[in-house]
Amino acid sequence: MMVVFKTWRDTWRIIRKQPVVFLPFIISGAVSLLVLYILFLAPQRPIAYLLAPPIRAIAGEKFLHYPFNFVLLPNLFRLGDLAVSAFLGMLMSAVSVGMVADVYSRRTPSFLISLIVGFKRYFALVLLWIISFGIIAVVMKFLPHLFNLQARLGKSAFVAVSLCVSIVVQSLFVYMLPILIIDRKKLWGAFLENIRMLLSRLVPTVILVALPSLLYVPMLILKSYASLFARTGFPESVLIILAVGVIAALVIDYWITISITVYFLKNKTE
Amino acid sequence: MRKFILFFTVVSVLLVTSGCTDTRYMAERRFWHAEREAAKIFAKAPSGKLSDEQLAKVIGIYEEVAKDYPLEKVAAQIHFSLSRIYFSQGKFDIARRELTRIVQNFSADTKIAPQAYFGLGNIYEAEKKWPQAKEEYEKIIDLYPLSTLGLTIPMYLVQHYQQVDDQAAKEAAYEKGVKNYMALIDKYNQTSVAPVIKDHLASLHILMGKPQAAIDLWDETIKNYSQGTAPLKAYLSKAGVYENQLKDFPKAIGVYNEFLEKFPNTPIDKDVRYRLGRLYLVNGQVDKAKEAFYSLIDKYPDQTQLLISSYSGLAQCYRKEANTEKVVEMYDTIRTRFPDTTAAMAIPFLTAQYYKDIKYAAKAETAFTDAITEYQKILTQKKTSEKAKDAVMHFLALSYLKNLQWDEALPLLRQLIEKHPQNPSYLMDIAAVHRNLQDTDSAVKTYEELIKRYPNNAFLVKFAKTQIDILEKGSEN
Repeated sequence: MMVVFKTWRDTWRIIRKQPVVFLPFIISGAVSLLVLYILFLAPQRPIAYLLAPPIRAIAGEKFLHYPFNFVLLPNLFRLGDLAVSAFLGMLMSAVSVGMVADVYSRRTPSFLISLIVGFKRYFALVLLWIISFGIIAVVMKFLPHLFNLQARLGKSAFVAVSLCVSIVVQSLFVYMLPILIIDRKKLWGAFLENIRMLLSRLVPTVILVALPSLLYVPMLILKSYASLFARTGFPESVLIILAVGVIAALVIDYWITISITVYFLKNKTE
Repeated sequence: MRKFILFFTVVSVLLVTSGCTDTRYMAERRFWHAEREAAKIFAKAPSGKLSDEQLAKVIGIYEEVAKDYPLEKVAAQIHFSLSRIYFSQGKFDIARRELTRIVQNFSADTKIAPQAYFGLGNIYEAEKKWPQAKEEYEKIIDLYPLSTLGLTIPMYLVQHYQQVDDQAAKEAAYEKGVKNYMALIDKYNQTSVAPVIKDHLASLHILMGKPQAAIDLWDETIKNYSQGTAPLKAYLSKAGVYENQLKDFPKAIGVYNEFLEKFPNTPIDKDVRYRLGRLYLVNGQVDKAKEAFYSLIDKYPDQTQLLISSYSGLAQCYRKEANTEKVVEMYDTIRTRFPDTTAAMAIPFLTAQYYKDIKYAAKAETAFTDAITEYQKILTQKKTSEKAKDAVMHFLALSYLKNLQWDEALPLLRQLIEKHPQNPSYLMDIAAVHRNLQDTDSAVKTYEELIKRYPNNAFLVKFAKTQIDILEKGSEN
């Protein structure tokens, strides 16, 4: 546990010293918020000319009218957020990892250089995202059937179980990003190195991932009930909940990514 | 970098402001909030009746939205709602004014404008100004001939004359309606609208008691259209007329069989097959009926309601064959396979009633006693839902009545009336119980209560008055 606290302390020092390492996550968060806002505008002209036909075809005309557009918004945004996470989120995380490595090595962090490095590994990053997302999706599809979980646990507890699965899968690949960007290994080699590091430092790794992730729980529960808020006197609260969720996710992901990178760099030099 | 930031800023500003410019969305939002506000006022009103002040407030809330967004569809909704409010208050001129606004602003909308004209006609009708009402209705036919209302107004006019018993006007309206439909059919002959118009003309013929003319039209549709819903509807309508109007069951069966042959895999296949099974039964073709019901059971093993109906149908088939063992077997199957359904709850009563019908007195008495015991037990069980309890109370009451246990039946029937005030059959049963107990006064009072509760049900009122006359004459004698 001490090693975890020391890592967090070092993480905080890096952030204070070079807050610019937060920039990639700001970009990622801004794009997510933009996607959310565009989806919110889906029933309204001029965005409706583009988004209304597919929404009408898939979900029905009802969801292009107030306040039912807010009932559909969480589901729409989930898809949009996945796309942002896959094609931009991973890249920005990689950029952040590169910048943290620069700060750790007492170099001036460069967004542009880290971006170029990230682009060079873009295919590997997207593939990594697809694999980890795929595993989570498959597990969440079959787990409820195996244990009849959703029926027995209720919505909130099911959300917590989903988060646990997400933490486990995230921990499984947590060092891939630093290894890909800093050590510049190939995907398979990075995976093997990742497993080796994970197994040799399992407990601190899981704590570094799990503890900040617990902050997700209230947000996830709130988001799972978001469509119910559409039926209250203030349907726009759905939009606010989702936006706060983006910001919360941004902060939590940022903290996890940087602390894992710092921990990776510390163990590399030791 | 500067250019990128400028571009991003401009795009963001455009996006933010675009969320405030769509009047349709803004109108929907305002309307929704207006409805919530109005609902709060309605909720505060004692027994749903608004005071003048509250009503003025509700009207003001809606009028504000309509004023700000006069050309949006929510404005039309508001004007319709306001028209209904003013109409309910007897303020016909103001109600008409609201609908006239709709006609003025939405004349191009083929759904909204006809409804507004129809509303105007309804208001004139309420004022007993039939010529003006007819004028409004005829405007729909002239201006919006292919709208739903435009196609149904000729029938509405005929029905009106039927109700007021004006044969000459009814014939004239019929002739005019036929002429109108024929003109439309000629105009849209090669289009997909033609069979829809023919269908309406067929309905008009049916109204006038000319089923063969309707059948001829449907035959035309069947002949000329092999795709789409038009021939399906034509077949079903034709079979329906043979079955319900002409009571020509063999022909109805023929039409259904032809339908199944021509359209083997439609979503309504099971409904048609079930209909066919019932027709075979009614027509005395018990073996065919059984075949139809058994084939439904095999083909649709997951459709609970259909299975229950099919087993019920089979029970009726075996009743016709006087095969008691099989009848009871079918009832038991419903009970064991579908234990949590209303149909299963009916089985103890139905079994007892069956024994009574075949005059097996000893078995009937035992069966009724068993049914009563079972229903009483179910009512005391905590796990029984409210809906199930209602059904069980109903069958228990029927069991008491059939088993001549009048004193036990009465309180149960009273409970059922309180729970289901819209169902007159319980009052009628209570009246029957009083009559069986030779309590003429109570029976008369019950019939009077029936008249008081359902004053708009002409059949019930006539029936109750007749029974009161009979009872009063009987007591005089």
